[in-house]
Amino acid sequence: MDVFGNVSEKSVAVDVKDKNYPALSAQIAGGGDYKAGSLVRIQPIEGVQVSNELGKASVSVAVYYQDGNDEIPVAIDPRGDIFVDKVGVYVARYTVMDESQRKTTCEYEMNVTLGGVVAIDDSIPVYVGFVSGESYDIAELHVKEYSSENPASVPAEIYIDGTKFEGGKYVAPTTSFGEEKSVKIEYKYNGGVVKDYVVPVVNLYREIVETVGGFDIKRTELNMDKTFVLGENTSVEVDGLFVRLTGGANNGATFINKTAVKGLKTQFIADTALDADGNVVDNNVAAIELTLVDALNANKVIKLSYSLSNGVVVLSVNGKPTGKSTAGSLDGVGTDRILFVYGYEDGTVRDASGSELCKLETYLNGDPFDGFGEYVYITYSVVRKDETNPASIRVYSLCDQSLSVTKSDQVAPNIYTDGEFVGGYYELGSEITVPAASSYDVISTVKSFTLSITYTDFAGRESKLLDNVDPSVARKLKLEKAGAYHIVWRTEDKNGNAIEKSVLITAFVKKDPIITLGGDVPTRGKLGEIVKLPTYSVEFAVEQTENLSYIMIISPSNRYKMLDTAEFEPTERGVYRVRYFALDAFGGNTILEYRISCE
Amino acid sequence: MKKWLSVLLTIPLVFAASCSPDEESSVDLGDGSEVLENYDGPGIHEASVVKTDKTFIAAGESEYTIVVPDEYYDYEYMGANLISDYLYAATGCRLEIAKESEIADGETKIISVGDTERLRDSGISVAESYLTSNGFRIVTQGDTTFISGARTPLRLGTLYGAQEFLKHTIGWHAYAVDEVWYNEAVYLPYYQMDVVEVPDFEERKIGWYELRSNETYLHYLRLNISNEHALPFSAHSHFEVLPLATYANAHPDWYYCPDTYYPFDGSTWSKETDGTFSIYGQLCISNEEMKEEFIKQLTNWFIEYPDADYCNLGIQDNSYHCICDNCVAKMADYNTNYAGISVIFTNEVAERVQANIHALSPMRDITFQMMVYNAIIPPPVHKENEKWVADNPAVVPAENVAIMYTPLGYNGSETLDHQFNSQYYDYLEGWAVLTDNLTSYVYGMNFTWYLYSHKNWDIMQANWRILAEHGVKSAYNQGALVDVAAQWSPMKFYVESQLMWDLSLNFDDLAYEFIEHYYGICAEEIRDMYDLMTTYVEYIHAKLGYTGNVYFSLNKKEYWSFSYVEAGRMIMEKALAKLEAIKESDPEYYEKYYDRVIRVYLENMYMQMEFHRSEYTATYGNAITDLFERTINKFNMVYMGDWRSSETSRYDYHIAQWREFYNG
Repeated sequence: MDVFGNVSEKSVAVDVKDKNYPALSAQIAGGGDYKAGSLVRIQPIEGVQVSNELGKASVSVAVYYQDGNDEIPVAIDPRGDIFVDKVGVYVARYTVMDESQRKTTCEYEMNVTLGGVVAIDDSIPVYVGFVSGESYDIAELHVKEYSSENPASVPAEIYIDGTKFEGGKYVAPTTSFGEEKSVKIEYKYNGGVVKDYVVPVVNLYREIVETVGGFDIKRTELNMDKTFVLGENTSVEVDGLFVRLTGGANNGATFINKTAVKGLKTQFIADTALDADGNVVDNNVAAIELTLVDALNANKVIKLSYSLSNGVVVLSVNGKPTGKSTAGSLDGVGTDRILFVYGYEDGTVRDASGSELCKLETYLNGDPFDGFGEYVYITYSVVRKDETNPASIRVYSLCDQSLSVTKSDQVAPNIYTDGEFVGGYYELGSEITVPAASSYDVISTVKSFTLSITYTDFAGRESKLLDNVDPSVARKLKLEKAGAYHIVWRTEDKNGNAIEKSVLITAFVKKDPIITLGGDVPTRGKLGEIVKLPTYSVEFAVEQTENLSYIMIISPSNRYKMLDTAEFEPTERGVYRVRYFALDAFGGNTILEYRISCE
Repeated sequence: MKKWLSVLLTIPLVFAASCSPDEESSVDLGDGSEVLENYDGPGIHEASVVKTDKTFIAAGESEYTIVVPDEYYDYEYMGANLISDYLYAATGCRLEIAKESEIADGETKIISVGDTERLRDSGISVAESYLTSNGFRIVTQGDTTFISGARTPLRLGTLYGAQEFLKHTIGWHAYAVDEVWYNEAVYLPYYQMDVVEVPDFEERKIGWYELRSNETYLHYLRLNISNEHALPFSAHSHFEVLPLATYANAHPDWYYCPDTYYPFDGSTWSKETDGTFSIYGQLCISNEEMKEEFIKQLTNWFIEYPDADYCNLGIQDNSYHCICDNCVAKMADYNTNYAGISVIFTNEVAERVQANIHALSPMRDITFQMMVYNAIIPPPVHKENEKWVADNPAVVPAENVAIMYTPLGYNGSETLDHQFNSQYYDYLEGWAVLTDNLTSYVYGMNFTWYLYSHKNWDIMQANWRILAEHGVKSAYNQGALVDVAAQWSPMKFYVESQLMWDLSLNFDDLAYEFIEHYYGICAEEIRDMYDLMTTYVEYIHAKLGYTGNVYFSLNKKEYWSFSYVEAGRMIMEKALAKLEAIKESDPEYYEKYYDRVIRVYLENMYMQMEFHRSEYTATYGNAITDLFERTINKFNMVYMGDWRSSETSRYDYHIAQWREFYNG
């Protein structure tokens, strides 16, 4: 109560327990017999029955394989499965702790015996589709038969459409326009199917002219390795610097090669439609959609839509407007390309200038967005205004690799470093981090990718610090000696296209040169008589060929003259100014100026 | 001319360089005396300013009135206004401006501005023969101070006299149109003044866009407005008197053009509309019929412009002259060159047009300026006994014909007396033998590379002196006529305008003075930048062959080493950091000085990106590219120089290249 009589209350409830309160206890049902080579789902933690807890109890679980007296931890996948590949006892142990930090455990056992289970022992291949008539490598799939304790990993037999595939190149069947065809791929072991796929076969409509909605649509063969899976009534045409996708329906074309998420960006534009007189007409494009599908998880889908609103291109993500506009054009008269950039580090969609447009929050299915894996598939599609007529877009590049008209792959892979790597000048003794780097090729595959660092001193002597090492890990580099450090990444694809990315680091001592004169500069001179100036020496931070020093004079009438020797003959009455100047290779400089009266 | 200055003031003058009280040309600097240069130009720069016991202004009050003639000239009133405005700004006291008839006869506390009756009664001479058209006197008699230029048609000297009065009263000094310094004061004594200023060049012009487009700027720097009292002709005016469109088809023989460029068949004169002929054609000055029409049309021009007393007659802007039989024969008749017969042509035009005008206005005297340029810059002289003499008495310019010496092909990076310019020096000497009515048209920048600082800080002072010593009376320096150009331009405008007025001044001293007053808290860094540039350029001049005419290619990486560029960059970053530090606390100050400072950085930014971009990171490179782009856009800078036919001549082309380098 205060001096005015106002009263307030605050109470605290204290739960007093008897010191003989029963101990925390827990129970879990489970266990049983299993065969080696199986996936075993363990009991969820919600199944643990807890008694006598103080406050809330939390539960965690771990699985161990009992190897004699040792317990070897076993990995639990996100779905709660363990892979049992050893004969013996596996224990699922649940640990319970209440808010008073009291702990207890409960567990059950899983007895594993041999039973001839056949399990996949390999990464699982992904087949998005085959292009009609194209050749493909068919991935092997290794399996193990757990009839013994340490079974060998052996390749499964491959059957395509019921016929055993003996290796080499697989040639996809040919299809005609509009034909729906698929291929069944089965991986078998001992006659049983281990894994199977139904892979669609699509036609790239090579040089076929089809009439859609009254328009002739020419379909042209794409370049080697650059393949699109086309939706119905969509054609692809290579035209100079770009690939033109023309749609007679609102479905699009998927770039079939997996695309690296690092450095993911693509440049495209709504096509410019012209009438017979060459005038721009409405290009029938209502929107351009980009669909990104994680290469390893088809549930991770993002749909971006670029549509025209009040003369600007606006972005929607998963059907929701972001309210953000981006450079580029859909109206057919502009030439600016729309540049989509995905910031893989922070999940942002960016525009051509690198400015953030929005952050991705959910996938198309509403699940929270937590990024993509290493690769995605990209689908381009055109949403038309008038669905009786076609529309087209031009795709210029994907991940900085041009989809241009080369009859063979002549495009080198890209190199990405983790963040910008700062080249330039560093003070001696600095420690820099050479970032991890990666290389991708959306057209073919990378054959080699290396990092080399060469040191060159200011006398031009070279020495290798690193030679063709793995660039995928970040490395510290201490700049212990003044000079140049050339850091070079080199990548080459399977077709021999190579590119280097280099950064030059120069280590230097940042210090203005010190000029020391060999005596006093005279203050007086006589016209027509030589004025002797003191010689000088310069202490540069680093001795190198680019260092510069000299003496110059400025006459009373402001005429400048550089001196070859430390003397001059005054010819004008008045004050001559003498400058001693030194400049090092890094911009450090000193000017000393003196005045000499001459008459 | 004698130059002296006697000043006893209580307030410091800004223009300290003019304040030496010592006629012996030496000054004690504390560690001994320094010998001053003591250059004596053709003008007069004399001043005696003595503080009296009388009060001019005190606590916002004054008993003085500014008086102008009843029929005042524009520049007289402008001068009166300048005095009134700046005294008000300095003291809070507004002196009224009155016409002379509005003032009581016995009133003596007067600042008389211009050609008042009181001035005429005072006995003070302001004769044009003494002051020339731009000079002035300031004379105090009792309580009255008279300020006036000569009685010329413009009375421009009076405006300059008003500026000088403010200089001696409140320390007024203009460094640029947007940078005028003066001292604020509660009390101002009355000064006894006896000042005579006659500029070393009677007229002074600097042909840069920023100046030409701003008359106040010109007035502040005592620079003349182009054609203010002359016919509105360009430098190459022959075709303005006889336009091709009017005469060429009917009179093809009045014109000449080399066959290489234009078939001389008369059938295709209409092609002149595409500019081809304008570029390569000239008048055939031996054609009598053409001359008659030329005289007639020029007379008409003067009738149309009744205030004009001057005209420039310039050949077209190419290196040809007519080589028809008549012209060749005429040269032979007079034993002279084409310049010789051009003088004969101009003399006759001048004589007859003047006669025509005198018939209408007997007092109207006209000066006809003949531009000696390209093919006609070699003077019509030859050497006899080691001395230049006229080829023929007829080739001596008439008294009312001025010769404008225009050495386009000279090496603009060297003085006229340098061996590289010996031919043009001879031309100057030759013309100086023929006439004492010389003017000059020189070039103050590199026309291929606007952005670069044209190396003339080390030659300009000497060159103007050489010209003055050869009798050149008026000075013109051409820069970029239609574009904002090089970064140091405001400094050069100031320095050159001061030198043209008083050749005893020193370029670097003026440059430092300008920097001190124009760049605020960044003055120290800008001076460092200037010293670095001038010192380094002397190295590439002496060792790397950095010299040439006004089209000389400066855009070479070999000249602009990384070390030099980096040294400049560090200086400018320091300057910008200083400004950045006060950006929030004093945004007005920041705003005023940022544009000035960033302009100095332009050349260095360009060099960073154009020559050394591989040395910088993408983040930095993109940032400096953006800054460069913002800056050139701010100053409406589009082209790198006079050459504009290719995309590489545009700044935005280079900017795109830089961005491509960093961003792919």
